[in-house]
Amino acid sequence: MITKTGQCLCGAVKFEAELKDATFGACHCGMCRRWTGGPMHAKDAEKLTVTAGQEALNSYNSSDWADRVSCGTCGSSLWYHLKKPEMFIVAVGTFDDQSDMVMASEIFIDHKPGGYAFAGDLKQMTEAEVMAAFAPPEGAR
Amino acid sequence: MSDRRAGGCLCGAVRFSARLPEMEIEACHCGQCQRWTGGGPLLAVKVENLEMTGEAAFSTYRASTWGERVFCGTCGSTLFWRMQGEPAGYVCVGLLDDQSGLAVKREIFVDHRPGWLPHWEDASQSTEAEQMDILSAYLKEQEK
Repeated sequence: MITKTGQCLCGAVKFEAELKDATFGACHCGMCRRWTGGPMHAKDAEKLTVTAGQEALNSYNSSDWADRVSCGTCGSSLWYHLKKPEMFIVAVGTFDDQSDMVMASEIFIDHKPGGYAFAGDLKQMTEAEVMAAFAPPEGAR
Repeated sequence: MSDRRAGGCLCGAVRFSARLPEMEIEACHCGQCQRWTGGGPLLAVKVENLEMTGEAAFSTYRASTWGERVFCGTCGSTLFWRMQGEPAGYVCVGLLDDQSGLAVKREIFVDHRPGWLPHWEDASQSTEAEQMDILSAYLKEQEK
């Protein structure tokens, strides 16, 4: 397990995230692109603890299943909060030390604009593949 | 080449349209942009004749004595960086409804690019020192 400390640009929000490993993914979905201004680079945390600035958090409910949390003071994109099962997918740019992080996958690749691409051998998934992989089983919806 | 495009934030509180004088995306790798976007780089396109609605939703944050970062106070979408007291000269590319034809052609603050992000093959490369020289010259010009 890797422990990462991080904060937003203004420093109002500070957190500690426990990660299974140093790999992370890029998301090209239209919602992430509007929210962060480009692709979102994030890692699902095994555990996320807000150590300062809980009151500065701004949460926006972007779908029935998730909300997006930013700093209300400086507007930094912090994490994507999946409601059920609860999961925090934390933006890697907010980590104090990103030096060991490795981009390993890209999701919603069919929504990536043509103007940029990431080099390297990355696992790619389309929207349909992501939805199939994460959708709850029939009957549980 | 020029083109007019529309765009907006995630919740739709802020909407705009602007003329794009060039089809180039500028990528900023500075540490502030990395924290602000949650990964970065900040991918932005130059805009002219910007018409915006929903400015009441703007929130601003000043991380330097010259710049200002503007985001949507409702959904937290990253909107643009601008010089203080000046209109926005760039907007984040992710806000555009249609990003076709745009490509990353300039990378700035490349000495701050995280190790996980390779550079773009045909984009110009500029370091922090080079950008700060440009900024100093600009600020000196403003003082005159």
